[in-house]
Amino acid sequence: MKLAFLERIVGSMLVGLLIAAIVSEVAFRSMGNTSSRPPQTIKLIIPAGASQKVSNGQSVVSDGMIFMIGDTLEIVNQDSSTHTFGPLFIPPGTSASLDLNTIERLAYSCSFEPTKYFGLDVREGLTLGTRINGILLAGLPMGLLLSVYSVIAWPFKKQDPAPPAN
Amino acid sequence: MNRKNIVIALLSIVLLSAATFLFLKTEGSNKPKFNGSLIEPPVPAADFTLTDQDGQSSRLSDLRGKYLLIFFGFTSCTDECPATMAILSQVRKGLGENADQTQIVFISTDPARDTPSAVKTFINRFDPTSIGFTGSIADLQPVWMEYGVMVLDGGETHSVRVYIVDPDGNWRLTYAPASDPQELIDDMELLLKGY
Repeated sequence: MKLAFLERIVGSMLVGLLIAAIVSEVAFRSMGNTSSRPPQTIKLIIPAGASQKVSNGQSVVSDGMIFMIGDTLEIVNQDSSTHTFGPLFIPPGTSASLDLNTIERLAYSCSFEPTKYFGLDVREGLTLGTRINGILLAGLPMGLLLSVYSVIAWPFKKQDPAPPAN
Repeated sequence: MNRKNIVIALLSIVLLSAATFLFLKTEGSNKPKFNGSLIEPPVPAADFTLTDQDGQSSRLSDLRGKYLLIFFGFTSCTDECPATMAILSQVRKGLGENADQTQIVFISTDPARDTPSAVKTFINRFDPTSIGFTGSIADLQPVWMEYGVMVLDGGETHSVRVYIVDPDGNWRLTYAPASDPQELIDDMELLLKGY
Protein backbone atom coordinates (compact mmCIF):
# COMPACT_ATOMS: atom_id res chain seq x y z
CA MET A 1 0.00 0.00 0.00
CA LYS A 2 2.81 2.36 0.97
CA LEU A 3 4.74 1.56 -2.20
CA ALA A 4 1.68 2.00 -4.38
CA PHE A 5 0.98 5.37 -2.76
CA LEU A 6 4.55 6.51 -3.39
CA GLU A 7 4.35 5.33 -7.01
CA ARG A 8 1.14 7.29 -7.48
CA ILE A 9 2.70 10.49 -6.09
CA VAL A 10 5.88 10.21 -8.14
CA GLY A 11 3.95 9.31 -11.29
CA SER A 12 1.61 12.27 -10.85
CA MET A 13 4.54 14.62 -10.28
CA LEU A 14 6.21 13.42 -13.46
CA VAL A 15 2.98 13.84 -15.44
CA GLY A 16 2.58 17.37 -13.97
CA LEU A 17 6.13 18.30 -14.89
CA LEU A 18 5.69 16.87 -18.39
CA ILE A 19 2.50 18.88 -18.99
CA ALA A 20 4.17 22.07 -17.62
CA ALA A 21 7.24 21.49 -19.80
CA ILE A 22 5.12 21.02 -22.95
CA VAL A 23 3.04 24.17 -22.26
CA SER A 24 6.12 26.22 -21.30
CA GLU A 25 8.19 25.18 -24.32
CA VAL A 26 5.34 25.76 -26.77
CA ALA A 27 4.89 29.27 -25.32
CA PHE A 28 8.66 29.90 -25.41
CA ARG A 29 9.02 28.80 -29.03
CA SER A 30 6.13 31.01 -30.08
CA MET A 31 7.92 34.07 -28.62
CA GLY A 32 10.91 33.78 -30.96
CA ASN A 33 14.63 33.42 -30.33
CA THR A 34 15.42 37.00 -29.30
CA SER A 35 13.84 36.49 -25.89
CA SER A 36 16.58 34.12 -24.78
CA ARG A 37 19.69 36.00 -25.91
CA PRO A 38 22.51 36.71 -23.44
CA PRO A 39 23.11 40.30 -22.18
CA GLN A 40 24.75 42.53 -24.76
CA THR A 41 25.82 46.12 -25.39
CA ILE A 42 23.34 47.91 -27.61
CA LYS A 43 24.50 51.08 -29.34
CA LEU A 44 22.20 54.01 -29.91
CA ILE A 45 23.73 56.53 -32.29
CA ILE A 46 22.75 60.17 -32.23
CA PRO A 47 23.47 61.13 -35.85
CA ALA A 48 25.15 64.31 -37.07
CA GLY A 49 22.64 67.14 -37.42
CA ALA A 50 20.35 65.65 -34.77
CA SER A 51 19.87 68.93 -32.87
CA GLN A 52 18.67 70.71 -36.01
CA LYS A 53 16.24 67.94 -36.87
CA VAL A 54 14.92 67.72 -33.32
CA SER A 55 14.32 71.49 -33.20
CA ASN A 56 12.26 71.04 -36.41
CA GLY A 57 10.19 68.39 -34.65
CA GLN A 58 11.77 65.43 -36.44
CA SER A 59 12.71 62.22 -34.67
CA VAL A 60 16.29 60.97 -35.16
CA VAL A 61 16.16 57.64 -33.31
CA SER A 62 13.46 55.01 -32.98
CA ASP A 63 11.73 55.24 -29.60
CA GLY A 64 10.55 52.41 -27.38
CA MET A 65 13.54 50.04 -27.29
CA ILE A 66 13.29 46.68 -25.55
CA PHE A 67 16.22 45.41 -23.48
CA MET A 68 17.03 42.37 -21.40
CA ILE A 69 18.34 42.59 -17.85
CA GLY A 70 22.14 42.89 -17.92
CA ASP A 71 22.19 44.77 -21.23
CA THR A 72 24.23 47.95 -21.55
CA LEU A 73 22.89 50.87 -23.54
CA GLU A 74 25.77 52.79 -25.11
CA ILE A 75 24.83 56.15 -26.58
CA VAL A 76 27.23 57.50 -29.19
CA ASN A 77 26.97 61.20 -29.94
CA GLN A 78 27.96 61.97 -33.54
CA ASP A 79 26.19 65.33 -33.42
CA SER A 80 27.99 68.65 -32.95
CA SER A 81 25.95 69.48 -29.81
CA THR A 82 26.08 68.03 -26.31
CA HIS A 83 23.23 65.64 -25.57
CA THR A 84 21.76 64.28 -22.36
CA PHE A 85 19.83 61.11 -21.70
CA GLY A 86 18.54 60.56 -18.17
CA PRO A 87 21.68 60.34 -16.03
CA LEU A 88 24.01 60.41 -19.04
CA PHE A 89 25.87 63.46 -20.34
CA ILE A 90 27.27 62.93 -23.82
CA PRO A 91 29.47 65.69 -25.30
CA PRO A 92 30.02 65.70 -29.10
CA GLY A 93 32.27 62.89 -30.32
CA THR A 94 31.93 60.82 -27.15
CA SER A 95 29.85 57.99 -25.83
CA ALA A 96 28.38 57.16 -22.43
CA SER A 97 26.84 53.94 -21.17
CA LEU A 98 23.95 52.94 -18.97
CA ASP A 99 23.78 49.51 -17.31
CA LEU A 100 20.26 48.11 -17.29
CA ASN A 101 20.13 45.88 -14.23
CA THR A 102 16.52 46.14 -13.09
CA ILE A 103 13.23 45.21 -14.70
CA GLU A 104 11.52 48.50 -15.46
CA ARG A 105 9.54 50.37 -18.05
CA LEU A 106 10.26 54.07 -17.95
CA ALA A 107 10.77 57.20 -19.99
CA TYR A 108 14.02 59.09 -19.51
CA SER A 109 14.27 62.79 -20.29
CA CYS A 110 16.51 63.26 -23.31
CA SER A 111 17.68 65.96 -25.67
CA PHE A 112 17.51 64.01 -28.93
CA GLU A 113 13.77 63.42 -29.15
CA PRO A 114 11.24 66.13 -30.12
CA THR A 115 9.07 64.97 -27.17
CA LYS A 116 12.14 65.28 -24.85
CA TYR A 117 11.46 61.76 -23.58
CA PHE A 118 12.77 58.35 -24.64
CA GLY A 119 11.14 55.11 -23.49
CA LEU A 120 13.02 52.06 -22.25
CA ASP A 121 11.54 48.66 -21.56
CA VAL A 122 13.86 46.38 -19.59
CA ARG A 123 12.67 42.79 -19.34
CA GLU A 124 13.90 39.65 -17.73
CA GLY A 125 15.71 37.43 -20.23
CA LEU A 126 14.16 34.02 -20.88
CA THR A 127 17.22 31.91 -20.18
CA LEU A 128 17.30 28.15 -19.69
CA GLY A 129 17.28 28.75 -15.92
CA THR A 130 14.12 30.88 -16.17
CA ARG A 131 12.42 28.21 -18.23
CA ILE A 132 13.35 25.41 -15.82
CA ASN A 133 12.17 27.59 -12.94
CA GLY A 134 8.84 28.13 -14.71
CA ILE A 135 8.42 24.42 -15.41
CA LEU A 136 9.08 23.54 -11.75
CA LEU A 137 6.79 26.29 -10.45
CA ALA A 138 3.93 25.12 -12.66
CA GLY A 139 4.69 21.40 -12.75
CA LEU A 140 5.11 20.58 -9.06
CA PRO A 141 1.76 22.01 -7.84
CA MET A 142 0.06 20.49 -10.88
CA GLY A 143 1.61 17.09 -10.04
CA LEU A 144 0.44 17.42 -6.44
CA LEU A 145 -3.11 18.20 -7.56
CA LEU A 146 -3.03 15.29 -10.03
CA SER A 147 -1.95 12.91 -7.27
CA VAL A 148 -4.81 14.09 -5.00
CA TYR A 149 -7.23 13.77 -7.93
CA SER A 150 -5.98 10.29 -8.75
CA VAL A 151 -6.47 9.14 -5.16
CA ILE A 152 -10.08 10.38 -5.28
CA ALA A 153 -10.81 9.03 -8.76
CA TRP A 154 -9.02 5.71 -8.34
CA PRO A 155 -8.92 4.95 -4.61
CA PHE A 156 -6.55 2.32 -3.31
CA LYS A 157 -8.14 -1.07 -2.73
CA LYS A 158 -8.27 -2.11 0.88
CA GLN A 159 -6.02 -5.08 1.53
CA ASP A 160 -7.67 -8.11 3.14
CA PRO A 161 -6.47 -8.60 6.67
CA ALA A 162 -4.06 -11.48 7.01
CA PRO A 163 -5.72 -14.68 8.27
CA PRO A 164 -5.11 -15.28 11.94
CA ALA A 165 -2.31 -17.67 12.59
CA ASN A 166 -3.39 -20.86 14.17
CA MET B 1 43.93 2.53 -22.83
CA ASN B 2 43.41 1.25 -19.32
CA ARG B 3 40.98 2.65 -16.78
CA LYS B 4 43.64 4.64 -14.90
CA ASN B 5 44.66 6.57 -18.03
CA ILE B 6 41.04 7.45 -18.81
CA VAL B 7 40.59 8.87 -15.29
CA ILE B 8 43.80 10.95 -15.60
CA ALA B 9 42.68 12.27 -19.03
CA LEU B 10 39.23 13.25 -17.72
CA LEU B 11 40.76 14.93 -14.65
CA SER B 12 43.15 16.89 -16.88
CA ILE B 13 40.24 18.11 -19.04
CA VAL B 14 38.32 19.25 -15.94
CA LEU B 15 41.37 21.08 -14.50
CA LEU B 16 42.15 22.72 -17.86
CA SER B 17 38.54 23.90 -18.20
CA ALA B 18 38.58 25.31 -14.66
CA ALA B 19 41.89 27.12 -15.30
CA THR B 20 40.58 28.61 -18.59
CA PHE B 21 37.39 29.76 -16.86
CA LEU B 22 39.35 31.41 -14.02
CA PHE B 23 41.75 33.09 -16.48
CA LEU B 24 38.90 34.54 -18.57
CA LYS B 25 37.07 35.71 -15.46
CA THR B 26 40.17 37.45 -14.05
CA GLU B 27 41.04 39.03 -17.42
CA GLY B 28 37.55 40.51 -17.75
CA SER B 29 37.68 42.07 -14.29
CA ASN B 30 41.01 43.92 -14.81
CA LYS B 31 39.29 47.03 -16.17
CA PRO B 32 38.02 49.09 -13.23
CA LYS B 33 34.35 49.87 -13.10
CA PHE B 34 33.46 53.46 -12.30
CA ASN B 35 30.33 54.30 -10.35
CA GLY B 36 29.73 57.43 -12.40
CA SER B 37 28.95 57.63 -16.08
CA LEU B 38 32.24 57.53 -17.96
CA ILE B 39 32.69 59.86 -20.93
CA GLU B 40 34.68 58.03 -23.59
CA PRO B 41 36.97 59.25 -24.96
CA PRO B 42 37.69 62.17 -22.60
CA VAL B 43 37.13 65.42 -24.47
CA PRO B 44 37.94 69.03 -23.50
CA ALA B 45 35.32 70.47 -21.16
CA ALA B 46 33.61 73.61 -22.40
CA ASP B 47 35.62 76.57 -21.17
CA PHE B 48 34.06 79.84 -20.04
CA THR B 49 34.78 83.16 -18.36
CA LEU B 50 32.53 84.14 -15.45
CA THR B 51 32.69 86.18 -12.25
CA ASP B 52 34.00 84.35 -9.19
CA GLN B 53 32.87 84.77 -5.57
CA ASP B 54 35.34 87.62 -5.08
CA GLY B 55 33.96 89.57 -8.02
CA GLN B 56 36.96 88.76 -10.23
CA SER B 57 36.65 87.64 -13.83
CA SER B 58 37.94 84.09 -14.04
CA ARG B 59 38.17 81.26 -16.57
CA LEU B 60 37.52 77.58 -15.90
CA SER B 61 40.79 76.76 -17.68
CA ASP B 62 42.63 78.78 -15.00
CA LEU B 63 41.84 75.90 -12.65
CA ARG B 64 43.73 73.27 -14.67
CA GLY B 65 46.02 71.02 -12.67
CA LYS B 66 43.30 69.76 -10.34
CA TYR B 67 40.30 67.47 -10.65
CA LEU B 68 37.25 69.75 -10.73
CA LEU B 69 33.94 68.67 -9.19
CA ILE B 70 31.50 70.95 -11.01
CA PHE B 71 27.91 71.47 -9.92
CA PHE B 72 25.18 73.86 -11.12
CA GLY B 73 22.66 75.26 -8.64
CA PHE B 74 21.27 78.37 -6.97
CA THR B 75 22.03 79.77 -3.55
CA SER B 76 18.38 80.08 -2.41
CA CYS B 77 17.78 76.39 -3.13
CA THR B 78 16.78 74.45 -0.03
CA ASP B 79 17.09 70.82 -1.11
CA GLU B 80 19.18 69.39 -3.96
CA CYS B 81 21.78 72.18 -4.15
CA PRO B 82 22.87 72.23 -0.49
CA ALA B 83 22.60 68.43 -0.37
CA THR B 84 24.91 68.03 -3.37
CA MET B 85 27.36 70.65 -2.09
CA ALA B 86 27.47 68.79 1.24
CA ILE B 87 28.20 65.53 -0.60
CA LEU B 88 31.01 67.16 -2.59
CA SER B 89 32.45 68.53 0.64
CA GLN B 90 32.36 65.00 2.13
CA VAL B 91 34.13 63.68 -0.96
CA ARG B 92 37.04 66.07 -0.44
CA LYS B 93 37.23 65.17 3.25
CA GLY B 94 37.10 61.47 2.38
CA LEU B 95 40.04 61.83 -0.01
CA GLY B 96 42.29 62.83 2.89
CA GLU B 97 45.67 64.07 1.77
CA ASN B 98 44.57 63.82 -1.89
CA ALA B 99 41.89 66.44 -1.28
CA ASP B 100 44.22 69.21 -2.44
CA GLN B 101 44.21 67.61 -5.89
CA THR B 102 40.50 68.37 -6.18
CA GLN B 103 38.47 71.57 -6.39
CA ILE B 104 34.72 72.06 -5.96
CA VAL B 105 33.27 74.46 -8.53
CA PHE B 106 29.76 75.85 -8.10
CA ILE B 107 28.09 77.61 -11.04
CA SER B 108 24.94 79.64 -10.52
CA THR B 109 21.67 79.12 -12.36
CA ASP B 110 20.09 82.20 -10.80
CA PRO B 111 22.04 85.28 -11.93
CA ALA B 112 19.32 87.65 -10.69
CA ARG B 113 19.83 86.71 -7.02
CA ASP B 114 23.23 85.03 -6.96
CA THR B 115 25.59 87.96 -6.52
CA PRO B 116 29.28 87.15 -5.91
CA SER B 117 28.81 87.77 -2.18
CA ALA B 118 25.73 85.50 -2.05
CA VAL B 119 27.70 82.80 -3.84
CA LYS B 120 30.62 83.27 -1.42
CA THR B 121 28.35 82.89 1.62
CA PHE B 122 26.74 79.81 0.09
CA ILE B 123 29.93 77.92 -0.80
CA ASN B 124 31.60 78.80 2.51
CA ARG B 125 28.84 76.88 4.30
CA PHE B 126 30.22 73.67 2.81
CA ASP B 127 33.87 74.03 1.82
CA PRO B 128 35.66 77.39 1.98
CA THR B 129 38.17 76.23 -0.64
CA SER B 130 35.36 75.99 -3.23
CA ILE B 131 35.12 78.35 -6.15
CA GLY B 132 31.76 79.85 -7.08
CA PHE B 133 30.88 81.37 -10.42
CA THR B 134 28.08 83.71 -11.36
CA GLY B 135 27.50 86.32 -14.05
CA SER B 136 24.91 87.90 -16.27
CA ILE B 137 22.27 85.73 -17.88
CA ALA B 138 23.96 86.39 -21.23
CA ASP B 139 27.23 85.01 -19.86
CA LEU B 140 25.66 82.05 -18.09
CA GLN B 141 23.23 80.82 -20.75
CA PRO B 142 25.92 79.46 -23.14
CA VAL B 143 27.56 77.68 -20.20
CA TRP B 144 24.27 76.05 -19.18
CA MET B 145 23.77 74.95 -22.78
CA GLU B 146 27.26 73.47 -23.11
CA TYR B 147 26.79 71.50 -19.89
CA GLY B 148 23.23 70.40 -20.75
CA VAL B 149 21.74 72.21 -17.75
CA MET B 150 18.04 73.03 -17.91
CA VAL B 151 17.19 76.27 -16.08
CA LEU B 152 13.59 77.15 -15.33
CA ASP B 153 12.08 80.49 -14.34
CA GLY B 154 13.62 82.08 -11.28
CA GLY B 155 16.89 80.14 -11.64
CA GLU B 156 15.39 76.88 -10.51
CA THR B 157 17.09 73.91 -12.11
CA HIS B 158 16.23 70.25 -12.18
CA SER B 159 19.74 69.38 -13.29
CA VAL B 160 21.44 67.67 -10.38
CA ARG B 161 24.40 66.45 -12.41
CA VAL B 162 27.96 66.60 -11.05
CA TYR B 163 30.78 66.71 -13.61
CA ILE B 164 34.36 65.61 -13.01
CA VAL B 165 36.91 67.42 -15.16
CA ASP B 166 40.47 66.09 -15.07
CA PRO B 167 43.64 68.21 -14.54
CA ASP B 168 44.05 68.49 -18.34
CA GLY B 169 40.62 70.07 -18.64
CA ASN B 170 38.77 67.02 -20.00
CA TRP B 171 35.30 65.83 -19.07
CA ARG B 172 35.75 62.38 -17.49
CA LEU B 173 32.73 61.39 -15.40
CA THR B 174 29.25 62.57 -14.53
CA TYR B 175 26.80 61.68 -11.75
CA ALA B 176 23.09 62.35 -11.88
CA PRO B 177 22.54 62.75 -9.04
CA ALA B 178 25.56 62.42 -6.77
CA SER B 179 23.85 60.68 -3.87
CA ASP B 180 26.61 58.61 -2.25
CA PRO B 181 29.91 60.35 -1.42
CA GLN B 182 31.70 56.99 -1.22
CA GLU B 183 30.93 56.31 -4.89
CA LEU B 184 32.67 59.55 -5.87
CA ILE B 185 35.57 58.91 -3.49
CA ASP B 186 36.11 55.43 -5.01
CA ASP B 187 36.04 56.87 -8.52
CA MET B 188 38.34 59.75 -7.61
CA GLU B 189 40.84 57.27 -6.15
CA LEU B 190 40.79 55.34 -9.42
CA LEU B 191 41.35 58.56 -11.39
CA LEU B 192 44.18 59.58 -9.08
CA LYS B 193 45.79 56.17 -9.75
CA GLY B 194 45.79 57.06 -13.43
CA TYR B 195 42.79 55.14 -14.76
